[in-house]
Amino acid sequence: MSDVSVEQRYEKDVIEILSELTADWDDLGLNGAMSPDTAIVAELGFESLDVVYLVTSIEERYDRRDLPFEQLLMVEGSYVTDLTVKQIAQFLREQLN
Amino acid sequence: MRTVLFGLDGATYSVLDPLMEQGLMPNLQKCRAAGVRCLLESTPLPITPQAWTTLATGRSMGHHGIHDFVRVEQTDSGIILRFNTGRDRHVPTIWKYLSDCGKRITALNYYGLAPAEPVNGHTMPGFVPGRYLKRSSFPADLFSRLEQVPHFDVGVLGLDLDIEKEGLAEMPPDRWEEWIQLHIERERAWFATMEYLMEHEPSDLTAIVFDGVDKLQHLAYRFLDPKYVPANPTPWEAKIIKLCHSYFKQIDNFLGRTLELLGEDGRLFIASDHGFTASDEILYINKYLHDLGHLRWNGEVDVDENESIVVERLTKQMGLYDWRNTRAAALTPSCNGVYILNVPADEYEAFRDKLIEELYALRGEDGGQVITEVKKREDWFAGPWMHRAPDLTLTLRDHGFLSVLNGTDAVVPRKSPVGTHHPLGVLWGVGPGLKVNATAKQCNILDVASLLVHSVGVEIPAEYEGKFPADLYEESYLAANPPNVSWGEKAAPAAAEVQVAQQDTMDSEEELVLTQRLRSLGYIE
Repeated sequence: MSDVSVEQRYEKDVIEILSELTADWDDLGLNGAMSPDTAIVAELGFESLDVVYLVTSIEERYDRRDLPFEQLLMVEGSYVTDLTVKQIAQFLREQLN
Repeated sequence: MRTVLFGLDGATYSVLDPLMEQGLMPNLQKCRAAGVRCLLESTPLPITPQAWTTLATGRSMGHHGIHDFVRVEQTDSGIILRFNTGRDRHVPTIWKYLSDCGKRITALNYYGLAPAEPVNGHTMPGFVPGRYLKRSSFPADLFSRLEQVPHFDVGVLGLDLDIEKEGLAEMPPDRWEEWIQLHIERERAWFATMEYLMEHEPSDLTAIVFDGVDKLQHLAYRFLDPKYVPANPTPWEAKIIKLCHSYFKQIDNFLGRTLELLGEDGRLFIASDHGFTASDEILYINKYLHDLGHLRWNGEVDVDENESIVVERLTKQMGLYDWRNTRAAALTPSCNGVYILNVPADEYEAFRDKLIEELYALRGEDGGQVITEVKKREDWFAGPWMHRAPDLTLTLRDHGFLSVLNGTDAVVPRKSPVGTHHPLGVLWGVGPGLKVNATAKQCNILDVASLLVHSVGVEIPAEYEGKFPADLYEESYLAANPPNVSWGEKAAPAAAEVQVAQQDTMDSEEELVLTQRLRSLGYIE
């Protein structure tokens, strides 16, 4: 499978995970469908605890408890302020391939 | 026998007894006369995640793995905080055990029930935001049945971190009423859920936690414990006292209705995860560690002026410290712990011993010793998961929680006392076989799991670490209904775990073999 299609597969996975995660939210801030550029804080309204549930959902989906999420969530010792679908997909591609 | 566990988070006799004496809790008073009670000693760190998990597993922290709401992990990218969930608990709960034994269970608002685990019955977790409550509950169609229940409101039932944090710092007087009222409504929503399930889908064991007891006492302890209640309250204070009483009167009504639903053939236990007392000072431990030269702030750090113990956002906290130049720091307020960082292994013991001496040397304004006990990890949290505990856990003279913020001084008196956790909580029992109008010997929270399992009529797993609290029962009843221990397949890992706890000097090869053994038995991943 080419790099592009692998990346697209993970983007599709992340969108599925996020869609399922936010299914019961009655205050989802997103207008329109999720895309690779969708930002989870700015557009979906994620708060710190939501990230915990996202991490758990990803771990459950891939049956992995050892993914180094700190590499996704932290830069130079500080937590990132937002993440896009594409960034999460890239992290998964790097870790799972 | 049909059994109910009525969990009162943080309940203490110092508050309940005076409320009973004032006639505000008549149903509890009836339980006093018709049943037995005792002091219940909490876990070495008396906080919700550790204590309720211990109660629900019969295992200590080193074995179940849940120390605090979050756990600290040192990674190549730095230190990160990860929230614990039910997946970080590494032993089965009584809910699961009883379910596997063919009993039906209902567990509501307990810590650590998310993500949902299939059981014969129902689970709805506590400490979960409303937006995740449905997906975190079991069975999947539970909500479709509960949505018809009066007062059932996911927005009220769920955790709102911002609201919870309000109760842990100075709150403006005009917020108190709404904040307390919200907890009254939350309890009503949780009880309505339990009432519906007890009536329509009854279980052998129904368990619920009312966590507002803890929340209210953190904020308003000085209006609940007669030692602190003002003799001549201002109109605002009188209004708050009345509202606090309304909260406890409602709990008492729930208790009365529960006893009614349970009937005379059922057994009810009331348990708290810890007790409560008043804290009258704040220990800014990181200020002290900084003054000792063990911690370096990351540039200019604001000084707290609001009697806060935690930063507004936990994710911001990691930016407070200069990690490379810090050797000891408190990272979360709830764990009352100090982590030792960047100290080479061959210097660790000497550094830790010196640090313990320095911690004991801290004095308050009155010249008194502020830190009364320093617990070493391996002494208090032994087991396969003890590495999740901080290197040192502190007990303060007023049982307060550490503040992880910077302060003007290390120890600062509070303007007014606030509630804090005390290691001694409550345990009551009412029903067939239990003593009547009696006070039993003090129990440990580790003992409660065996009490519940026996009450429902199932053998007690051999790996449970507590003792069966026989003193709660009439001897004649226990002679006819003895607590039997199950020496099933779980006995082997229990022995292996004890070995882990006892062998501090185990070499890496032995550790690997043991780890593989525990993993093969499904005890660790």
